[in-house]
Order: sequence, then C-alpha cells, then structure tokens
Amino acid sequence: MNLNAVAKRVHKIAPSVKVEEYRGCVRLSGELDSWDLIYRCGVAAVSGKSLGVLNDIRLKGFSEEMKKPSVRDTALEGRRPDVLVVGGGITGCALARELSRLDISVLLVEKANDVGTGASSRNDGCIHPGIDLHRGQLKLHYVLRGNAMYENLCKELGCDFERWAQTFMFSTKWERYIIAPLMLLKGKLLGVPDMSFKTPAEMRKIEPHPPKWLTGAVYMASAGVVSPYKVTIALAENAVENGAEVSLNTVVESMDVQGGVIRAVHTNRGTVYPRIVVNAAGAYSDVIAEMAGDRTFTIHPRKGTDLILDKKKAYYAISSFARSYFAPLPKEAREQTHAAVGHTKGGGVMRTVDGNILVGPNAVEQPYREDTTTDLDDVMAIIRKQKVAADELSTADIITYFAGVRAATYEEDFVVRKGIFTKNVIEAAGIQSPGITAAPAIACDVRDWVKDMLGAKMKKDFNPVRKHTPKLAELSEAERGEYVKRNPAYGEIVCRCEEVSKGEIIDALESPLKVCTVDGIKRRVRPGMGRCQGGFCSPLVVKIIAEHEGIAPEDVLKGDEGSVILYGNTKKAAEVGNEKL
Amino acid sequence: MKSYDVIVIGGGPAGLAAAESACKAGAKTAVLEREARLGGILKQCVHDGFGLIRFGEKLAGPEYAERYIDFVKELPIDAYTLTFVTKIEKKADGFAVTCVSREGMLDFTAKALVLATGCRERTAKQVLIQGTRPAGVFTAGTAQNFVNLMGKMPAKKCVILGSGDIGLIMARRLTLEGAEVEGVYEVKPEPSGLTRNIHQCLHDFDIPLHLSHTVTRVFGADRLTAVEVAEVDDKMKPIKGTERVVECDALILSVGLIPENELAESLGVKINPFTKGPDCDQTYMSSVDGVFSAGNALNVFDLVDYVSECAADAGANAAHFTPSGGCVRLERGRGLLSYVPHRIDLSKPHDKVVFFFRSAKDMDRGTLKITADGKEVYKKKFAFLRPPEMQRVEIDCSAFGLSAKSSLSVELEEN
Amino acid sequence: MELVCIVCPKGCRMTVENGVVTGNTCKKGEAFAKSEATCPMRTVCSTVATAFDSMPVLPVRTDGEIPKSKIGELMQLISGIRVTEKVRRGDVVAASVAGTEVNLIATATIY
Repeated sequence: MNLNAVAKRVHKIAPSVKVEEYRGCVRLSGELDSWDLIYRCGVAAVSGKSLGVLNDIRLKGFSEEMKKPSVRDTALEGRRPDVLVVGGGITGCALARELSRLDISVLLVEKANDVGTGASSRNDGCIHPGIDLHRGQLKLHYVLRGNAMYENLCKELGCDFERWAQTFMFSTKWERYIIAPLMLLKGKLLGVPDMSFKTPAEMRKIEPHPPKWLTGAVYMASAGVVSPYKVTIALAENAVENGAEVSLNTVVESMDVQGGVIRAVHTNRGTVYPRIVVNAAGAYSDVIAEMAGDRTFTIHPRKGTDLILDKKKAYYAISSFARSYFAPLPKEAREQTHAAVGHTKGGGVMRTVDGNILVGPNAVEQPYREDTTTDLDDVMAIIRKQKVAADELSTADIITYFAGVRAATYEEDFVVRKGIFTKNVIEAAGIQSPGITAAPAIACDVRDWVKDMLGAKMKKDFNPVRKHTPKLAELSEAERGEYVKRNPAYGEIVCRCEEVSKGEIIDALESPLKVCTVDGIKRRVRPGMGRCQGGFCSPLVVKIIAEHEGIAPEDVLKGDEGSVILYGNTKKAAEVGNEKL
Repeated sequence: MKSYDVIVIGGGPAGLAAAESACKAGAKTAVLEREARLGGILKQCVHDGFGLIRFGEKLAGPEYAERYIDFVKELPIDAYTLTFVTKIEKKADGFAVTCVSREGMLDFTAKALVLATGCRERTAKQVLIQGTRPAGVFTAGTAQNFVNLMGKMPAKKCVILGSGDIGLIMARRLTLEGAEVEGVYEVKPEPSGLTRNIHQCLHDFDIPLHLSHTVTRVFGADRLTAVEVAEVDDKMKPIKGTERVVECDALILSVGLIPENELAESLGVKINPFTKGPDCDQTYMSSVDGVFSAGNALNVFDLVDYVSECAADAGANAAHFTPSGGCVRLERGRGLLSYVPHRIDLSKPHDKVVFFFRSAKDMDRGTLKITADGKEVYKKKFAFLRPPEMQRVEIDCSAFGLSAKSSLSVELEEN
Repeated sequence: MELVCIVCPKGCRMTVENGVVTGNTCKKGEAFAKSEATCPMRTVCSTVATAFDSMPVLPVRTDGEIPKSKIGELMQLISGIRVTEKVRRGDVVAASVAGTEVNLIATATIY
C-alpha cells in the first residue's frame, strides 16, 4: 500500500495526525477537537490495498460509556458452547437461527434486555433492491442474495413481508432521458432484478398521488418491506425453538487470546469457553474485534432519524419512493432544504408493513455509538425534504419518531470474513444499511464456515417454521371467531388503535424468547404502536404482565433495567395486607 | 344476529345518556363498550365538580357515572362490555355492526347509531418533544389511571406540560399523594384549563404556572432524569438561550384532546376542521343519515353536564330520525374558535337550538351575532369569555325566516 | 382581597373588602368569598386502599368541606385506611374526619 499517498490526504485535513501501517491496516492516531475532522481523516485513509482503516484519533474531551446491564452473576460460568454469537441484532439472530440448523451448541449474548433493540429496530424495514451499491462490494453480494430469501424466510417465521417495490422519481426531462437508462443499465450490470422505466401515466396507476413534477421513474419491483424488529425477534425465537440459547442482559467484557486463539470470553454473567466466536456486535463490533485481536476496521456511528405517520395518511404512498437527487430541487424547496439532512442516499417516503407511512431517514455523523436521541432540527429537515415528494406531508401527521445509529465502517462495506489474526473468530461486523436485507444471506455464509471449521453436520430435526399466532385483526370474521372460541382472551381487545387482544399479549408472554416488559410486548404484538401511543393501553399492559408473571405492577419495566414505570402504592395501607380475602 | 333501533357505541357519560334517552323515546337500544366496565373516563376522575347543572350537586366522576349506569340498568337497554367494534357497514335499511368480544364475533344491526367514542390525548411526540425515550413520560390521563384506578405512583417529582384541566387536576392529585410538582408549563400566554382549576389545583398548593413556556427535550436513558424547558415567542417557538434543565422523574402531558372518530370516518362522516368531530345539524346527526355523534367525539367539552345534555338529545333524536332535509350551513365568522351545530336542518324542529361555542380569545365582553341573508337576526351579550370555557345558549332559529337558499353566519364581536 | 370563585365552573372574579363581596353572580359565590377571606374550606377527593384485586383503590370524598389547613391531616388518615368490605357509593368510609363533623364517603361501588 502507498502509505505516503494516504498520509498526504490525511495531513491535508489534520497535519497532527500520526499515520502508520499496522498489520496491513492504515492506523491513525492523535487527538483532534472536532469529530468532523476525525471522520474526514478516516475517510481519507481508505485505501484499496489496505485491510482497512483503524481510526484511533481521540476526540478531545469526549467519552461515552457503554450502556451495560448491572447484573453480575455466574449464570454462564464455565459454559462451553460450540459457537458464541456476540450481539442480538438482526445479524446475530439470523446467525443463531442458521447455526441452529447444525448439530452444535449455540449461545447468543446480548447486552440489552431484548434482542433487536439497536439499529435493527431503528430503521425503515426496507428490503433493498441493491441499486445504490457497487460491484465488488460485499454489501452487493449479500443484498442481492438476502433480498431473494425474504419471501420464504418471512413465510417460515410468520412475519409480514410485502414486495411493494421502490421508485426513484425524476423531476426533469434530462434525468428521465439520461439518468433513467443509466440506472437501468447499472441495475443490469449489478444483477438487480425486475427494474423498469415508468412514465408518469404508468406511475399514477401505481401511486395514486405522485408529485406534480414527475417526469418519469425507475421502478424496482424487487424492493420490499418488513417489520425489522419483528423479523429479528422471530429469527431469535425460531433459533431458540431449535435449541440455540439466548442470554439477555449479558455483555462481553474481555477475551483471553493466546497464540491466535480465543481461549475464554469474560462476561458479566461468567466466563465462557467457546470454540468459535462470531462478532455481530453492531455499533460495538470494532471493539469486540479488538478484544479478539482481529480488528481491521473502525466503526464511525452515523445516526438516522425516521418519522412514523398516522395510518390515516397511508394514501401518501403505496410503494416506497424518493425523488432523484441528480437535478436540483425547485427553487422554493431549495431554500428550505439546506438544513442538515446530511450525507445520505436521501431517504424517502414509504408504507410500512403495518400500514403506517414512514418518512426518512437522514444521516448525521456522530462520535456516540449509542446516542439515539432525536432533535427537532432533524425532524423538521426530514419533513421539509420529503415534502418535495409528498406535498401534503405535515408535522400534524406524525405519531412518533425515533433515531438509530448505523454501524458504518470507513470502507462503507460490511466486514464478513473468517478471522485474519485470530483463528476462531468470524466477523459479521460493520453491518449497517442495508443490513436487514443482507442478514439472512450473511448468516448462510457464516453457517457454512462454521460447519467446515467444526466438521459439524446438519440437524435432521431442524424446524424452520416458527410457532406463532397470526394477527387476529387481519383474519376473516369466521377465522377470528374460531380463535376466540378456543381462547376467549383473543376476544378481549386491549390496544384499540392496533386492535391487539389480551390473548395475543399472553402469547407473547409465553413465547420462546419472552421479554416481559412493556416495550418487549409492544415490539412483539404492537399494543401502544398506534396513534394514541399507549395512552389507553399501557396501564392495561402493565397489569396483564404483572398478573401473568405474578409480580407487582411496579416491578414491570418499560424496557431495559432501570426503566421503572411505577413507584409503588399511593397508600400506606395497601402495603399492610397482601393476604387475599 | 341481534337487531336494534339504536346502537350507541361507547359506554362513557355520553353513551350512557344517549342510550337512556333513546330507550325512553321508545327505541330498542344497545350500548357497546370496549372496556370491562361502563362509565368511560369518569371512572378515573375521582375529583369533584361534576353534576352541578345536571343534578345540582357537586359529585365525583365515578358517582356521576354510576348514577347514569343505574339509569341504564333500570331500563331495557342491552349493555355489552368488553365488546369492541371492528367494523360498521352502511346497509339499505341501516347499519351492520361487527364486534369482537370474549363470546366471539358478534353481529348487530341498527337503524341508527350514536357514536360516543370519546377522545384521546395528544402525546409527547405530537408536540415534538425531543431527546431520549425513557419511562416516565405519561399523558395526564394515563397517569390518572395509574394513580386513581391502580393506586400506583407514576412520579416522585414531576413537571407538567400543558395547563389543560386534566393536567391541573393531576397536579393537585399527585401533590396530595405526596409527589412534588415542580411546575406546570403552558406554551400559550394564557392558561388552557378552567379558571377555578388554576385556583383550586395550583394556587392552593403553591404550584407555579409558567406561561409561554414549553418542554423541548427529555433526558434519561431508562427512566426520565430531567427535562429541558424553554420560553417561547409569540409564535410559540422556543427562544434560543432561554433553555433550563429541570431535574425530575416524570413528565406529564396535558396538551390537548383529539376527538376519536376513526369509526365515523370509516362510514364517510364529514369531520369539522375546528371541532375535529363530525359536522352536525341541530339534532347532532352527522353528514351520514342515521349516524349521530355525542360527547367528546363530537366536540371536546369541559363540563360533563353538557356532554350528558347533548348526548341525551342525540339519543332521543336517533330514536326517530328522518333523513337530512334542507340544511342551511352556519358559517363561521370572526371571534369564534369552534361551535356546534354546524348547520340547521329546516325539516326538523329548530326553535330551541342548543348552541355551544368557544371564543377564539379572552374577551371581557363579547356579543354573539347571527346574520341571516345579510340581516342581523340574533344578538346576545356574554361576559368573561375564554377559549377553555365553553358557552351554551339556546337560540330560536325558527324566527330567522330561513329557507333552503338562505345564508347564515355566526360571529363573536368583542366589546 | 381579590379571588376567583371555584363554586361552579363559571369562575367569577370577586373582591372582598371589609366583609363586603362584589363581583359575585350568585349567593353561593358570596358565601364562598366570605369563607375564603376568613377560613378557606375545601372538599377533598382521593382514594383509599381496598382488599379487592378488582378494585385496588376506592375513590372517596368528604361529604362536606373541611378547613384547607386540615387537608394534610386528612391525607395522612386516608393513607392508612384499608376497606375490606364491599362498600357502595355513598357509604361512609370514615366518620368525622380531621376533627370535623365531615365524613369520608365512597364515590363508587366496589364491584
């Protein structure tokens, strides 16, 4: 690699940064007082011939403490799983499920109180067609394969999946005649299936409310949409059904690596001795890779915010669409949009699988790996930007919004490989957008590597079909009636916005990976996801959880440890007698 | 399949009053309630002040509700609880109502419907509060449920955003139960709740009210640890540099109520942009013949007594309704925030039209004026008009000499 | 002394000077203003604990007004009450509370 050329690029941005070669990687070190400079140095250090960028430049005065569970016990002490999966995002959960096809023992550890609480739940659920990727990228390989797997995967898992397509809309003649054919050609070269050009008249048949400026669109029929957290949870549940073990509230603190082999992994719940460690730690995947002695990349967190609109606005979009960014915006829109929408493909307007409209995301580089706070500037910038494509859009439509952090590497590609410096590690790291699409395909490759490394065999009794109750509100009257006859709790509606019954909540409390928190139930069966945002049903959900688990309502949490909802009784006298009369 | 003359959807104060009067008017009546008990939100309103007009007594919410539950129980009304309406379809001779309950799917038919579905609260995200997503952010109604129905404390030290009545009531309630209310913050330059609630809920307990202030951000990864408050300008936008962080463990929101009309909308009922409830005539019939609206689904009221009154009228009217005849729209002039009814159906009695309205702003003195075909036909003076305090007046519209081609408008003039 | 009437939702603005009330629109308002100037009185509403899972707390109120200064004392008493019988709306839960003639009554029926 030409280190001098790299150093020259980096020093143009920040002369004080030390640039060196370390085990085939470009390593940057020093201290700067701007995250923007540190990020730009990292980008400048990317070189095709290195293994990756190790950006160790410190941000002056910055520190972020990893959010950790406080529990310390020996629940896992001395365990010897064949494979330890670190991280319960969609990648980790897809991995656990694929690995549970093998006759080996699989342990997945996740530091939060549920799986899929990081970027896997904080994204738009888009199953990407892959048009924005490049040849040679691992991303492209996995996105094309993953996309094709989704139909069957969701059928097996009992998750909703819709191929509602994606459209890229043009506002000028020249885009229509130059960009559109180029895009179609690119699609062909990349292997993106089912792309076509649509005239405005054809588009109107697909999207009843297309923007007025539409001159044509590239239509990508292979794009789809899922509920990303639902799929993540379903993958984990099916993995558990097939013998994998999931340990929540479990954080990897350090590893013993000797002679290029991980000998032990220390967690807050005991020391584990796995034969293979798979790193699927998302925003912390470079930290885990470093512990494993196998780091060749650096995560630079990139926050994105998404807005969820009332289902009444579902007519805004049938598919998922975005305005082409090649032509400048119309003048009046341009003046409003300069605010920090940041570096992103641009986001768009789409219909979620649950029938809401989702708008966003944007992209903001930040030093924090776990800062998922939202900002008014971001929310307003997203509205202003997407108003160009959906002109009725207004803040009054919003029912909620959230932010997530993408685990981006400076190479802007996934790191999916066997260990380079450590023999028994596999990296499934730097999985950012379009990670939801890619995860099932990544999991297949990793499964095959593990199979070879351990000489494992496929299990005969693997059951890919997850046990689940269908969404009762979507059944026919007769079918729904049958369910209620079997279990009257299916007829008792708890969340009226999303029509969720008590029976469905109890099913979630009895599922293979039960998480008895208000958020855990919300992510599984949707009470509180509607327009009242749990205003009516949250007390009921707390009560149902408490009754089912035999705990006091004040012991029911919203999500992670510490997210206490209630502080005990209003009355002293309520404490006296717990004896039943 | 059971057939009724009138099906009332919602068993809160509006639904109960509507069912009572529909039944008394001779209609075979049913009430469908999604909760386990009748009474609606009044079950959790343990404070008093209900019933002064209706019963001449100051009752607590549950007392008021139980009186109406007793009325309904004494009459041949079928009350279905834990019964949730999943679908309503308009048929040639009425409506087909599908419900789900613990007994299975239930199908009903009705000649007329009274939608008494109440309202919901606006949430933190709907007023664009930013930051983390911790536990400890509650709407006032949710906090009230925890305290008054479950007997559990949702806060030790809280900030209340919004001076709507429920927010004020909860400030007092939480203080009485031993929590500290750091302050009530109101984005508008004047309070949103009833004046007497400002006095008996805040002043009595020395709780500060910060007008022209809002909460902009919440902090805390798991449980709320603090909120950021800021002063706002005359466009209600936070002023940079005025932010202040207040440590607290709960944020309670009383930032507005939205009439619940998802079922009404599924029937094609036209929604009035100012009340956010169905556009209605003087009999409370919506734009769809046979569909009536009552209570907070029609228009957010501040007195339950008025809810009962208008719902009783809606129920009686539903019992023997006629299709919409020639209607004259009551156009909205200056000075009015919202009002009902929105039109006068000349084919129906209109000599005693009950007109509910709110002023658009505080007025020490104001005159309500109605103009028909360019001529002033009605005038009445009011004192101490405030947007949070709904006014009620009976108007004889039959004296206006209206015809189907008439133009009719109402305005409120400050004097 | 200037005050706002809390007797009914109308909220009349009144003035009390040397025992003379102005600004009221009814007799009740006048009486309220006079008592407010000498010994402010309030109706107190709250809940008490019960022994029933179906209704862990029972709403209650005083059946008359008590001096504002005694609210704290009353709340202490209320906190210690636990209803073990299925009382009905209007039943007395505690008689003559906080050194007054006023009773604490149930405002709902335990179901």
